[in-house]
Amino acid sequence: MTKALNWLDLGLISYDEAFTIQENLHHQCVQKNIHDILLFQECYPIITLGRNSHEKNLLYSNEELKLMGIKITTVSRGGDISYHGNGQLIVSPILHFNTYIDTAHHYVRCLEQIIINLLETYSIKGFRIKGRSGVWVIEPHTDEEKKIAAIGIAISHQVTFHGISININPNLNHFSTIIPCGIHDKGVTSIKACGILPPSIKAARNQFILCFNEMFDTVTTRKSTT
Amino acid sequence: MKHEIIIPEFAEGAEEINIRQWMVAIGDPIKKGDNIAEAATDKIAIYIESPSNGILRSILVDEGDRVTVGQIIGEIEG
Repeated sequence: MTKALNWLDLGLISYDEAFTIQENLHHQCVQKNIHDILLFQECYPIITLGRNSHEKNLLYSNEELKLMGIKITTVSRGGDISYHGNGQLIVSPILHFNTYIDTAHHYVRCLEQIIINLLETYSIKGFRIKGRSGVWVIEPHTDEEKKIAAIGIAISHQVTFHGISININPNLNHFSTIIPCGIHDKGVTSIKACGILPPSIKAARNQFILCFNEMFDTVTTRKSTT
Repeated sequence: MKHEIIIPEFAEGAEEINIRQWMVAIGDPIKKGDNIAEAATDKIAIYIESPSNGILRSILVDEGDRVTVGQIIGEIEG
């Protein structure tokens, strides 16, 4: 049966402000005051430390990061260290996930497949690497495997939060301040760095919604307010 | 009456699950549905809910311990 859910785009926003909104929506979703929702945002530069973070994967001092305009914060998702910033689409599905899929592990794999399908619409071949979450590509000009989308989720009261970040056209130099996800032998890339004219964040958002609907047989409509 | 705190089935499929933290201590009063512990796979943080109202009587795994789906990690009396 087709399921209905909402989407909401916070636009360009600070990570902390967006997370406060996300927590509120998560609480309302747990209480079943609102439908499940896909929350989108693009945020100002920030490094987030997930539940499995290792200090050694942060390569710059707080002072150096401040000079580069990059904030740092600890977050409640799974995973190691991540960078978020302008030119990156962040999607946080706030869902009663077990009405869509059986296990959390399978849910993560579905999110990866949605990103692979999204990338395909831009003529980019994404793939998984066993033992490493996220979505990877062969970057054409270096011929190297690089990560183009990262995943880290949390589940509380059967409802998911946090989610995915997809590199559309971020400042890739900012990723050099960390070892993303603790993976030191592979780099990070973006749609633009793959030689593709990058879509706008809104266009990528709309494509994500289409791919999500296709994966989970949902009908997604815009939510008017937070 | 004792109620077991169990790693939920929806965590099935993860290569490894570890207890990240206990959010309550032995003797604490707990309400059904409260988040009382956090487990984590490599990419998923899972908050474990209390199955009942009561008092936390035992903690059977330590923070950092590896656990499996269906494993009893603590008990509530209520």
